[in-house]
Amino acid sequence: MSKKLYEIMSRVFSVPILEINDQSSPETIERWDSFNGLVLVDELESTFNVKFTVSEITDVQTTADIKRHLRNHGVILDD
Amino acid sequence: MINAKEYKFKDIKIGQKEKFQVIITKSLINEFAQISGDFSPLHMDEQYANLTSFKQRICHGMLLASFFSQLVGMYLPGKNGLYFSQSLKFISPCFINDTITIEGEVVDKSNSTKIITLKTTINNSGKCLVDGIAKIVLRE
Repeated sequence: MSKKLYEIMSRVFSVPILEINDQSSPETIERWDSFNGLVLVDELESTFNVKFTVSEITDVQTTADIKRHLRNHGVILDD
Repeated sequence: MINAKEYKFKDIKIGQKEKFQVIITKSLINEFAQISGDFSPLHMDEQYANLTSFKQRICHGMLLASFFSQLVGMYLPGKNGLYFSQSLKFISPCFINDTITIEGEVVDKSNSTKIITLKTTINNSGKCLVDGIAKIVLRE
């Protein structure tokens, strides 16, 4: 799942996939702004067939938080 | 001119629909050519178009698609919507004097992003001309 998540983030934020890790955040990825954050949530909900709550979205500080919320929605991680 | 509807995110229901009709005229096609810069003879030259499989001028596909802007901006959801994305498939040609029906149906809504997803279609007497998916952010 991490590979899939990183692929989505790479495409949405236009960064090489090798530059993405669990510590990646709006502070480390230049194009992780409010608009692209919305694009990311939309893609994650479509790809993994989940519906996040507002509180889950506002809770996200890093990629690790995204993975935690995906796990909570039953998405199986391969790492 | 109609007033734009004012649906808010909380008002939108899955399955909700809106539609309106437009007659495709020569002047619409000519005006779109001026705006877009697409003067392809397939759209503009009767003699040229007559020699193609279409046998007559056809309407620009993107002119048809532009009516999704009216659907989203004026009808569903109206003034509170901000276009996020639109996919398009051009399925059948549209000709001068065709009456088209532009329709949108809500197929999904996301509480976290306030994005609604519409199935957007353009039909002529039940025949599908254009198909696509629109995603719109509700500002309220």
